[in-house]
Amino acid sequence: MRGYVLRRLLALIPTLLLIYTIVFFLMRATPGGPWDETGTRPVFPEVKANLMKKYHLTDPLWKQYVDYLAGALHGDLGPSYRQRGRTVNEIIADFFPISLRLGLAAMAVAIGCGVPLGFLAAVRQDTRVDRGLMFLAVIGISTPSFVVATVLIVVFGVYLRWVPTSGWAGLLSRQALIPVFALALWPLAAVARYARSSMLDVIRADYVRTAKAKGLRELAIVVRHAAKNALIPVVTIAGVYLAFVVTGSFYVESVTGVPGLGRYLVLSISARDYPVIMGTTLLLAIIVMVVNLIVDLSYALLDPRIRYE
Amino acid sequence: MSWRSTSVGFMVVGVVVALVIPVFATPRPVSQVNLASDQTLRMVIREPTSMDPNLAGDHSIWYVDQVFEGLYKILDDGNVRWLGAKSMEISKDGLTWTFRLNPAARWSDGKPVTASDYEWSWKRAMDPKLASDVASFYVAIKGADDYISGKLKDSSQIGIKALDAYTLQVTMAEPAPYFRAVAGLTYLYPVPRHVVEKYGDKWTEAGNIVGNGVFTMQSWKHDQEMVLVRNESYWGKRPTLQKVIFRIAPAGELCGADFRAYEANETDFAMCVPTADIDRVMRHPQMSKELTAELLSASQFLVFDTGRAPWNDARVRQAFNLAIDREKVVRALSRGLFKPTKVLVPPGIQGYDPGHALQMTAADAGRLLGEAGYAGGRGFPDFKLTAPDIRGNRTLAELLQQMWKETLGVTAQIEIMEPKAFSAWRSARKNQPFDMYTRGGWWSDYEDPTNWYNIFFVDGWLNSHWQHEQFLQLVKAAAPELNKAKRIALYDQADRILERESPTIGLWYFTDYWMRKPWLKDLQHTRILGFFWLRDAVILAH
Repeated sequence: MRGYVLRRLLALIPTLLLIYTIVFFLMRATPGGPWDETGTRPVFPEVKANLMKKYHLTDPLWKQYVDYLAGALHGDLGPSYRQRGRTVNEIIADFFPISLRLGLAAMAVAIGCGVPLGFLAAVRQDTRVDRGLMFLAVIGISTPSFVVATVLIVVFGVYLRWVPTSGWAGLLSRQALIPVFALALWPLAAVARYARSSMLDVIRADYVRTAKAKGLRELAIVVRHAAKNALIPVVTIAGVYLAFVVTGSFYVESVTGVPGLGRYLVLSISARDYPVIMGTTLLLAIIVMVVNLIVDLSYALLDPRIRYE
Repeated sequence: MSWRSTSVGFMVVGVVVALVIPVFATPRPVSQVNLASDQTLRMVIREPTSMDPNLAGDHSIWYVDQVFEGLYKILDDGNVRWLGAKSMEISKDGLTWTFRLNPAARWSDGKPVTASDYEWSWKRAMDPKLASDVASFYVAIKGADDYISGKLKDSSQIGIKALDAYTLQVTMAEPAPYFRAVAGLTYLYPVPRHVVEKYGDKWTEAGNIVGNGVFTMQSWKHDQEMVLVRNESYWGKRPTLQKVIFRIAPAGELCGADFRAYEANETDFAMCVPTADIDRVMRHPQMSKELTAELLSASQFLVFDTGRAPWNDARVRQAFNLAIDREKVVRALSRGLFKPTKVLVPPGIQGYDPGHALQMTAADAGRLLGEAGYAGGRGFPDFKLTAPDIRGNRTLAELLQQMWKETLGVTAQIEIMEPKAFSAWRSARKNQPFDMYTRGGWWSDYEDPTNWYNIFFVDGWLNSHWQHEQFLQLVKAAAPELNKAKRIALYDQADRILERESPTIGLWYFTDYWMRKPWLKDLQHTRILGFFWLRDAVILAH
């Protein structure tokens, strides 16, 4: 087990290096640079030259490649071009925890509601409850999160005025309700569907039939015997969503005014803010890989037949 | 290369240009009785990219303007409101500008604002090591060009000198009347040397920052909220507002966030209404009264590559110009809140005269195209309209395509590009052919014709490849002209040529859609870059 984890962690290194290389050259191959005018004013050539020099963009490409990598290995992800006086490290330190908290809260809601609802639908297969829940799940999956967020803001913020229309005041505030729910809806619906189909497989298994024959109550069968096995596919899919959700959703963060990392990444791409693009991409890559590893390891906990050597 | 370096030397006859400008009276005070006890203004803004006046060159200048102030401010009526300076004198030859500073002016930590603060700040803004893009506003000053480019190392050679604590002398490389419009801009606001040196890059953070404006920064949680409070040690009339709460919304969704917060009564002032909501606002009995379209010194226009056929024929350009129904375009894009224009430059810029527009109608468009050899659009080469994906350009391009098809019988291809990619493409047009493009328009950085005619056509920033000898001579002569009447006459003549020749086609003037709650009074808009002047604003009891 320990050897397996170590191998997986070591495998991160070449993957990250590959991502670094691809992003590095892709950024520079994209037309338009960080100081090409974006507003209405021309950037004077002398000034642009000074900026290029200040941020070492006049160095040969291989040197830029090596220098940034060396810095990153020492934990220095460089300065932001757009936000003068701020570093990528500071930006990540400011915004990543917010995305992380928001994402974890959304996943807690998604799993906490999605799994029981999915199981309920499975147990009541082909009844009105089942059809109703799965209808809602299809809507949940097919509605983009920014539409959900916008509708929630207009209804609960503008018309009912129960919650502020945007902003962030921590996870335990009224402001957090809309982003958490908007972010949770899609994984919630997906988790519910997976939980349902997985539970349907399990309740047809012999051991469940035996438990029924012995006269156990339905609730006890589902919770004590079927649930654990039914959860394996759910964990896989939840892992994928978790990585997706904690790295920040650009749309939900933008619409609800949450200062998270997802929105920062997108803005930095349109500003060609190279260090921010690189720093956040590497961070997101690490998170996705680590979450995948955790998902794989959790299989062993749920199913004693799975062993990692 | 800047426009001055290409302008011809112009001998100035001995005219004393001592500017005696009346002090602008502060707006009438609102009766104290009506004021709300809580003088807090709430609004939504975008995260400033910098609060350092020497660095802020984008939307950040709006917030810098609340915490700092410069020598003076030129208001929309042309009057000067003296702030850091009390007066300004210009020598006969137009080269030496002397600013007498206001000895009462203080930094918010109590230290006096002196001429050496200005000298140090201005040189800092030009320092190649700081690499600030606002450095371009200093290029009129002697030695600035060379210092910015690194050729001149010794900053004492730059034409900026603190003669004593309250006298600042600026020497120009050549006469530059436009500097009057520049000297009051945020890019030339002073910074407190003692604070900048103490905290380095972090001097603009809350707790460190020291300003000289009517407000001071109380807190700044990046990308969340910035709170300003009244600067109680301000030298002059202090604002009525005690506190300003800026809620910071993400750039991509700013307009929506701004408007929704306003509609939910969370804010008192909104600087934007999403296009999709304008109709609803205009029909709404209350909100329609709160909406104003504030005119900006900014226009949207089309640019031709006049260096090649068929665009080198003025009749073709005129035909394309006349075939555009601007009212229709403006209705589609702004529900009529932008102001249609047939000329390029906006009101307030010398040379502006709507009467210079082509005195023909859409009916003449087909005739002109026929005279150019393309009757009914027959034989007209394929061409492309290129634009960045911003500010409704997609809709604009489609409307133009349709209008030209109907009136002229020609079919435009449309290419919409990602904004940065468009900038790179446009810069590369310096020596490369194209057909026509439109961008995000042009905002006056300062109210002077050099900011339009000279930058566009003498510096060639538009890349329109338009080389009209007479026009170029006129605007080159006008730029350094110290006689105001003469200068206006030269630009007026140049503008006539520009509009007749149509190397560019003016489409509309931009406006800011402002929403103000009925209790918010005396909040002024400036047409230069749409500043909001919070210093005079008051909140009435409600």
